[in-house]
Amino acid sequence: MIALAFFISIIRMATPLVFASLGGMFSERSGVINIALEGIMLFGAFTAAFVSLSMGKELGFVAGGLGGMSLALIYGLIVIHGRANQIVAGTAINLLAMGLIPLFLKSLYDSTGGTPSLSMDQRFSNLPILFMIIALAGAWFVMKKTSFGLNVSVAGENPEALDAAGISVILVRYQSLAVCGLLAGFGGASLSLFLASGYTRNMVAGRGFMALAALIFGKWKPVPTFLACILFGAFEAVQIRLQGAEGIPPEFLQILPYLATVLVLAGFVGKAVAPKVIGIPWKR
Amino acid sequence: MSNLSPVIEAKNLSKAFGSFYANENISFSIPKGEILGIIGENGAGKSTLMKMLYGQLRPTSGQIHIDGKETSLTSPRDAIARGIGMVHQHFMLAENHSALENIILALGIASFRLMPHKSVRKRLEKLCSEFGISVDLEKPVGELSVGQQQSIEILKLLYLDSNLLIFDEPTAVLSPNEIENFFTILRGLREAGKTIVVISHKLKEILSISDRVIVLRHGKIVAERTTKETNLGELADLMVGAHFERREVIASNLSAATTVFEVKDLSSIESDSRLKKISFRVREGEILGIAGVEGNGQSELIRALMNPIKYRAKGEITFCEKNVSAYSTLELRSLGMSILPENRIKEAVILDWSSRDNFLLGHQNKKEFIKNSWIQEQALGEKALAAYKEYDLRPLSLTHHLSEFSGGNQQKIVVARELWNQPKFIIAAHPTRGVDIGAIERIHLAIQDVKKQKGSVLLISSDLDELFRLSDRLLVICGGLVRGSFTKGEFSEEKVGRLMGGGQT
Repeated sequence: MIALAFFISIIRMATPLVFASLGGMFSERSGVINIALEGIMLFGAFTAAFVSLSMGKELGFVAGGLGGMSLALIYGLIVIHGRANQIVAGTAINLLAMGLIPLFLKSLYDSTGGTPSLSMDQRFSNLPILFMIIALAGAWFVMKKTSFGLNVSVAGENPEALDAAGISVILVRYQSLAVCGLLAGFGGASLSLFLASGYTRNMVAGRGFMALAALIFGKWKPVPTFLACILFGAFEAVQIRLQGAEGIPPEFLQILPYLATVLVLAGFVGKAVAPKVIGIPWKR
Repeated sequence: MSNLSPVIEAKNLSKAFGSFYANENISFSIPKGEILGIIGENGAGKSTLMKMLYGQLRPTSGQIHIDGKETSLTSPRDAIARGIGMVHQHFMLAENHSALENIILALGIASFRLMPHKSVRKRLEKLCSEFGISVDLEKPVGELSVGQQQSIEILKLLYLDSNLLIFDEPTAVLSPNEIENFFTILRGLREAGKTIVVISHKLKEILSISDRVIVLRHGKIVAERTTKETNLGELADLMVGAHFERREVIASNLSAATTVFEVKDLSSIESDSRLKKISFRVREGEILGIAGVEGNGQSELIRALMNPIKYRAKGEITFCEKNVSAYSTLELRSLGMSILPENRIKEAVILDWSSRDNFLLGHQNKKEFIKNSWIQEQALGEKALAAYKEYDLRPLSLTHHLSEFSGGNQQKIVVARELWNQPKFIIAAHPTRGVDIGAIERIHLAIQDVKKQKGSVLLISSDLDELFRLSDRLLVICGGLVRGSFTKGEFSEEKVGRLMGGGQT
């Protein structure tokens, strides 16, 4: 019984990570590094909580996805059309999200810290786990079986070949970023509507980067990436479970998931095979 | 061949970039079922012409007629729709995907759909048997041989119902056996009524496969010949625009010479290295050629020889009677070793540096050029200019960036630099790749000069003509092992080719 409860808590903790890293997969497989996942999740978490407060949790969840998508498309504008350095632009998007949200909060609720707390029926109990599993299956199916998945992966591998086939590399990358934003936004929504009740300041707390780490650990493939997220989720669940144990400072326990991320990236990734042209803007 | 109406006809095609005409008044027509060879040196305008036929470039003036109708091609997609297909020198394949998925990719499905695996496979299998092509449709393309990758490119065009197939330097990366196989496929295509254009600077191959040859020089057609009525010498002269004399190379008498460089059972530390266990020795004043299809351990060998401390796994390297098995590149260079790297752009030059500054690379520790950490610009300039003059660099300039020189002249810069202080041993890896005929002659001469000055050369190349011409001795490698050894006089294309492809003598 305890084991089952613990298992469920692992899945719960992993849910936002899975959404975000699947989103990151679309972006990066198409050739766009997405360090902005953190900010996109944050924005998704905020829009989800905001809409849920007035229009209910279902619309709130969708709004989280759309909020994430809009920020991802702004990012796309900068790096695809503007051909900007993707690390710098991604960092800028993260900073933008961190600055923009308190501004909205202040004008909406006269507080920069967060949204008001959500009531029980404004948040989910377990449904996002199902959504997450659907997203995983969908991502796998799209990458493996559909023409769109093929185009995404060729855009990040050999864009000349895609161009030669008469398909716009730029369009495929925008589409990938839109999917990325949608999924990462869902990740944010599952934070504010599922793991917590409402938006609180900086609630993503590095999960965007952790999702990126999981993506690298999972070699940019849906199922291994999912498993990596479960691993990171497990550390987070352990961390929560151990809180209050005698003799271990709580701050130390909180480090665990981040420590695990660093160790995994430094030691166990092995030969990570990134998409070939990742980070390189397309120009004919 | 047949005198049917032309499939494609170019009428006074010109393409200008600014005031420079890359193509000027090009007119020709290709009847159905013909193999047309287009030859010319680098920069003669071959690629520009093909790009116009394939819709990648719009002609400045002139027309293209397809099946008798005037047509303006605005994109490759447009060309494909009109039955024109092209196999680029660098294949347009996604290496992590199977042949099947690469063909699906080529269909250009932009909408969100299931990939039509089944129907595509069915038609592909039919095309394969029809044209005698055999490839693995399931394996990631990157794991297939270059020859098979080329077959996939051909299948792509057949799948798209191309009637005119353009090949840009199709044999550059193939082994002799693969070339034979490729030619067989081409002949089959011709039988089936396809029209084929082959662009190349390899005259021999054009002579053996084409029905007709067009020679381009300086953007103009200078000659058109029926293949049967011409020969190698005539084509070479037409291509270069002058009577061209190839000097005979005389083998050195080496029986008494001492060994300068020796390698015993060398293997490389690189993961999935193709270099297994290799042994050879190079004597004073000798050119040892290494023949092999690219990707059979040559790159690993070069790295292990130039930087043994980093790349050598096992085995012994002796240079000038010293055991240098754990030396670094710097130590080897100061002992008198030098290299013409296989990838000129990546490993030999810095494109946005001037020709003068590029001369310094690899000589940074020489007192002539650096005093008390300061670059001696004057001395550097003088030495570089003298060396470049000797190699007839064009333009003879110290200030032009490397990117402003042609491939041949870039390579001359590298050769001038690497041979500047008379190395005892030089590794020449594909020294004339992407280099025009004039520069090839100059570089071959330079390599022979090394010999005269009692230097030794390890010549690694996939160009058999070059190897046969220069080498005193020739090793054939395949799969990272030495498969055979020949001395000058017993070189035969057939034997060497068979060994290169993994066969037996």
